[in-house]
Amino acid sequence: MPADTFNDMILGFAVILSVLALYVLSLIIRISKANKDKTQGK
Amino acid sequence: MSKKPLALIILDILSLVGVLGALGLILFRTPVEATMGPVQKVFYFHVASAWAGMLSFILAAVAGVGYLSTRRFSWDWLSLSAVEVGVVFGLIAILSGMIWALPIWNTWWVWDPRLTTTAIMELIYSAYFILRSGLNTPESRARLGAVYAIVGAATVPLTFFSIRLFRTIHPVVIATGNSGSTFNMSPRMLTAFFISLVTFTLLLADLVWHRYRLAALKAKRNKERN
Repeated sequence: MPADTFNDMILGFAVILSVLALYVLSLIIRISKANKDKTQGK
Repeated sequence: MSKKPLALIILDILSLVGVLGALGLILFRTPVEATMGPVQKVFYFHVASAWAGMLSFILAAVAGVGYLSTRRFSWDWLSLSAVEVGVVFGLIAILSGMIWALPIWNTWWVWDPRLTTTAIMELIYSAYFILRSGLNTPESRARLGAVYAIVGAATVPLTFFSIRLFRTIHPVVIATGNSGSTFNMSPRMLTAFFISLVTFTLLLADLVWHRYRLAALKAKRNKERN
């Protein structure tokens, strides 16, 4: 019978998707800030 | 910033659909491994992340060679972007591996050759940003960054082949013959595995492209200011 590791699987995918989501969010914020700076610079 | 290219929009959609599709396939269509149980499913994204990270570091080294031979800053932006995205994928591979290891090895971490070389690779590329931040001119950042990315790439084959060169408890996923502790994948497991690899390769290209556009935008803004 397989080991009961369901909670570990959920934790694994939660961490993977959270790190990806945080990086995408950081990119969106930085791109938006850089665009704003460029507009204000003009 | 220039308008987002259509190819990048398509890549965004493909990456998002790919990640969600692969996740659905892994959760609902792949069988539960006989001894490890459901946590084995983390392996598909774990290996794909490690693959994407290593590919990204190789790309950074290639871009480093491109900068040193042409002195065009676009190569530096690519190298910087590839290192940053590679560090993110490397972090995902390490964290997901630790979560898998706890119920299987009964510990978060062991100083196994594969884990140790991966940690060294991740630390070396994390230090890349410290190096760049300590340099004043864009030229020196680009030049030393390129050299660092090229030298750092030596850790990629060392990490990849560590499970073949040394005694290790880390499973060998891509193996010929009976080397190390391999595990056999059923056809449905193999399908999910290769779809995850393709998806994370697309995601890598997508993220590097977005980061490159940000680097280009910042460089242009700095040029206008000076």
